[in-house]
Order: sequence, then C-alpha cells, then structure tokens
Amino acid sequence: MKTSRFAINWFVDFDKEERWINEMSKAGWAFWHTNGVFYRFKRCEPNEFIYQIDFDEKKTKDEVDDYVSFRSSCGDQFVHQCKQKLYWKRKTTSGPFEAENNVAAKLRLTNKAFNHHLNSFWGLMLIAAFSFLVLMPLSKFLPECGFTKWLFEFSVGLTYGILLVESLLLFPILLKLRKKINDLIRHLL
Amino acid sequence: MKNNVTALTESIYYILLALQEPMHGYGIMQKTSSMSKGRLVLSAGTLYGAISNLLEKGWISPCGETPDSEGRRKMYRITEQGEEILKAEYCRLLELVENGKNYIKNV
Repeated sequence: MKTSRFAINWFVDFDKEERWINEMSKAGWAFWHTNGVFYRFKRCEPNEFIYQIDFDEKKTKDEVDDYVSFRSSCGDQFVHQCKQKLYWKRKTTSGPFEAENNVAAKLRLTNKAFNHHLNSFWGLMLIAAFSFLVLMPLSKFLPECGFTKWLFEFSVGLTYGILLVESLLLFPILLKLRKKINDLIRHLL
Repeated sequence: MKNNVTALTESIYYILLALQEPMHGYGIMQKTSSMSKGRLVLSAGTLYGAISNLLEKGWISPCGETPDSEGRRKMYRITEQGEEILKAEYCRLLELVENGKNYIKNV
C-alpha cells in the first residue's frame, strides 16, 4: 500500500486550503509539507488529525520561534511553515483548535489572514508600479534594440498580469475577509 | 483605550484568576477549563496573544521557567497592577449580578 503521495494545488484563499487539507486528512492523508504548489502527504488513520492554517505576523525569527514553542508546549503540533503561513495539527480526539463560540479568537485569526492578504496585495502593487513607472519608461528611453522591445512587452505584461490577478483573485478575498470581520464584530457588540 | 475603564473579556478574567499562582501556558489552559467546568476552552493561539498583551500592559510578569524535566516552559504570575484590575473587575461583575437580582423578575 502506498504510504505517501503528493498533490499539486494552488490557493489564494486560505480557508479553502485549510478545508482541502482537512478533507485529505479525512481520507487518510496527513499533510506534512508544501512549497505553495506541491503538497506532500503521509498515510494516517482516516480523520486522525485536524489542521489549522495560521499566519505569523511577528517580525523576528526569535518571536516566531517563541510562538511556535509556546503553542507546541500547549498540545498543538507544528507541522510546517511556508513563508508567512504556519500549519498546525491536532489529534482529532483532543478537540478542535478553537471553541466554536469563541468569536474573539475567530476575529483574531481572520484579522491575521486579512493582514496577510493585504500585504500580498500591496507587495504585488509595488511590483506593478515599478514595472509601469520604471521598466516601461526605461524601455522607451534606451536606444531601440531587441532587448528594449522585449523589456517593453515584459513590463506591459507584468503590469496587466498583476492587476488582473489582484482584481480577480486577491480583491474578492479581501472583501470576503472584511465582511467576515464585520460580521464577527457585530457578534461581539 | 484606558486600562481601568474597560470591562475585561472572559478569557482575560480567567487568565488573571489562574495566575494568582505562578503557572505556565498549558497550566492556564487546564485551570481555566476546570474553573469554568469545561465551558471556556482557551486555545494555545489565543492564549499566546492574550499573554503577550498582558505582559505589555504590565498586568502579569514572567517568573522563571519550569524545570528541564517538564520541558522548560515559561512561567507567569500576576503583578500588583494586575491584582488591582482583577479586583476592580470583580466589583464590576458583582454590580452586574446585584442589578440582575434586583431587576430581573423571578430569578
């Protein structure tokens, strides 16, 4: 019997990613590593673990280490970190990560996720701005040759590509997360 | 936000209650759960954020680590300022209960 497998997938929405990883766990595949596209799993008992995706908003590596060791000492198992995303798992038998009715905790996580996506949004925006304001003029300014032609097309493609990705993928998620935050706040009041 | 006028959240109130004796994170989770008879279960992620906040406000302070045999976990305890906040909150809660008794019919 196969004891390990991989799957290729790509998520912008961490909610969907979390759900997918949990579905895999229910089917007997325990997630243990990813680089953002390539997901690796090991055989486990069906529904042995539940997973949570969390975002580290700490600045230094020491602070992240502190956070990880604190949670580990409280019974959550650290699985993997991919950029700012932290993956946690728990034995399904030891109960969920957060109590269903803990609105404040949910708000905290959702807010972290919102900040994470907002950072990606501005990061991409910065690249688009650089491409539009620096690369594009540069390709016109330099004496014309094969390279400048390529540079012009590249910068146009990059700018529009980023704007397309942001408006089709990132922006809807930001709106969705903001709506979720607003709903949660209304719950608290 | 002024510290002494806002009501404490349930989690913060229980954490402060638990930290009247030195305790590590996992201890706080267990104590909270047993005090509230399993009603309030703090998750490690939430607790970490709460402890950082409380440390920043000076309501609790670090007080050493557990021995190596228990995995060197950081311990915390309540400060004098924290005690005052806790007492003030207790009085506020009493007031809520008193008013409930007086104004809710058939309690």
